[in-house]
Amino acid sequence: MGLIHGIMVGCKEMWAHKMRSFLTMLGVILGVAALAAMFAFMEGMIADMQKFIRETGGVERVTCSSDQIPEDQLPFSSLNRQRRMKDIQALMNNIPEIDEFSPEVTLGRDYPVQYLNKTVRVEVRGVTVGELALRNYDVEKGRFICDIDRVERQRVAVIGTYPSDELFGQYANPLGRTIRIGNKNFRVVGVLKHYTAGMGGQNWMNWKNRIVFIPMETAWLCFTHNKDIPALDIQVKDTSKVAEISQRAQQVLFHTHRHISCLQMRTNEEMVENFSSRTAAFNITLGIVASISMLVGGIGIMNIMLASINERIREIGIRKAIGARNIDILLQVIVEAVLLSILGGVLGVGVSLLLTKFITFFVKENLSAPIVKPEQLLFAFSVSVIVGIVFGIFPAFKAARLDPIEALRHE
Amino acid sequence: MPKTVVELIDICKTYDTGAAAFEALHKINLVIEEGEFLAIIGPSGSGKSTLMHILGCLDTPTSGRMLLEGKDISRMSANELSAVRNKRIGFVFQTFNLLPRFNILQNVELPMVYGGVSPFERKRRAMDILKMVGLDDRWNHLPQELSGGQRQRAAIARALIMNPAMVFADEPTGNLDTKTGAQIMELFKELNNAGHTIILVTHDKDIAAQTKRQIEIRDGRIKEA
Ligand SMILES: Nc1ncnc2c1ncn2[C@@H]1O[C@H](COP(=O)(O)OP(=O)(O)OP(=O)(O)O)[C@@H](O)[C@H]1O
Ligand SMILES: [Mg+2]
Repeated sequence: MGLIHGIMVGCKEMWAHKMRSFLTMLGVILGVAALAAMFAFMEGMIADMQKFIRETGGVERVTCSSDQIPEDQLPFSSLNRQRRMKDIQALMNNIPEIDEFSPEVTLGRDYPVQYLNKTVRVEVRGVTVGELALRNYDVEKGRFICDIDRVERQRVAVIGTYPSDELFGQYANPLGRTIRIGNKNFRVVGVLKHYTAGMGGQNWMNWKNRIVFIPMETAWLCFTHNKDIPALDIQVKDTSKVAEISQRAQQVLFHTHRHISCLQMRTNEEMVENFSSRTAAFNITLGIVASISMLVGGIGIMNIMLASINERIREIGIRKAIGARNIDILLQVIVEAVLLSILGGVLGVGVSLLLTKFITFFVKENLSAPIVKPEQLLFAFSVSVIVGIVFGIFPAFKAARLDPIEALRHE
Repeated sequence: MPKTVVELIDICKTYDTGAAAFEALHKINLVIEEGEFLAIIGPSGSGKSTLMHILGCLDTPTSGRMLLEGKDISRMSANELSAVRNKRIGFVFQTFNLLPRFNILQNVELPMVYGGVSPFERKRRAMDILKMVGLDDRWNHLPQELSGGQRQRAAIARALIMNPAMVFADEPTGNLDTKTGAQIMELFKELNNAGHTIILVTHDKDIAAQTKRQIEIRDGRIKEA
């Protein structure tokens, strides 16, 4: 059969009814554009979220935090005590699978840090070496807090790029300078790496840069005046065991806390699950919207094909009279429907590219940079082709079933 | 002994026009042999076109049997009928039935599209046949840009393009002046001499006289002349 002939006839028809064809295509264009743009934004969001999860310690991290004491345990809650190094010792002795510990003593999220006459408010945290692995930090210049610092209660600090830039300027070397944290002098021994994410001048990874680390024991001595560990993170490299280990860790701490359930173990896995369920919901909603507009586009195509064959009943009769088989007519109509939807699909992909550019240009905040993946454009395009075939079938059958002489008599 | 190409046995065609059924053809019996040159004459509305459509496998009779080259067409599948219409039969319609948005070269090529002829071959053959009917200088004109006689010739060219064994022409000279009409008749005579079976409908007694055999139809019944 003449597929080329079919395509030629289809193009001729489209050209003969330019406006009508374009309006018909509009549904498909919008559907494909919505679908492809949605993919791009979802991809961007997922990438940012994955980065966020990685930067906050990944799925290997288990956070141990205080929980509300259950009501039936309240009368003897005074027996309870804060977490201490003893708890960590107990965990170390009983659960060898734990790879890293990171006890944290946070002084405040907006703690004033000064250098000469400049002040920044950042998070100041007493930590151990474990912090590097658990919070996914790297040292850019100098060194990190080490065990000697803790034993000797050294007044040293490792600072993030935000306080470093604010206090010393971007190009000065902060190493060896003395900053004031609260009213105590600390020597800067290290600067952390700079972390960025997002786009349009807005860096939503900045929280990671707004930090000053000091040795945990120094924090006890200089600021909290006790030996409590308000927050404890543990890392289990074998992610398949995270759930089991966090269970066992809870049991150990249950014991060291005199069986008062005042602790809660949270894994990052929950965050990942939470995130994926939310993206799934988002995907479903947008998927429905895109499918509806595809459906509308498809119905538009069906409608116009029905109108078109109705106008061309005589033509179909002539074709049959000179030897066109039913399948030839069927394919002819489907080819025409698919041509419409293919052109709609191509334009839709083009519009989606413009749309992502346009949206990212105007909406910078709270938006991840879209990631356009060719295979997803291809998918959106294929959907349009399928729409053409599916919605072309009914008019095609109608045309193919026409009786030649009836069709020839049609005025 | 010549071969029978078409045999009609008790063909009736009844049209259902609302209240009363109208019998356009009544018990037509007709045998057409290979190489015949047959004219069907009769007054307007007597059923000539109806008969031609049945002969051309475009329409189906209400009752009766039609054998085409020995095969009962009511037993043929839709695809077989399409192949017959495409390759065995050339049909010239009373109203030409050219595709309005295609130039006459494309119109003439159309049967070859469905006959599986390669595009290059199509163009060559279509130009040859247009030359034969004297339209080669008009190949890129649309049908509505041509005169009635030119359209008629384009329709004949299309009917002949697949080199069919049988040619059915419904008033092929009806729209032509005597001179062009004579040219067309020469064409049909040549085709007939080359072995094609030709059946044509005409009002014109002179035209009919040029054929080898005439039959007359009146009120749907045959009167062999
Ligand atoms: N589809 C139809 N429905 C009802 N009646 C029809 C139909 N087609 C043809 N007829 C009737 O059948 C009769 C024969 O028609 P037909 O077209 O065969 O005539 P004809 O001999 O070709 O006439 P003409 O010389 O004018 O072309 C006419 O009376 C016509 O009214
Ligand atoms: Mg007639």
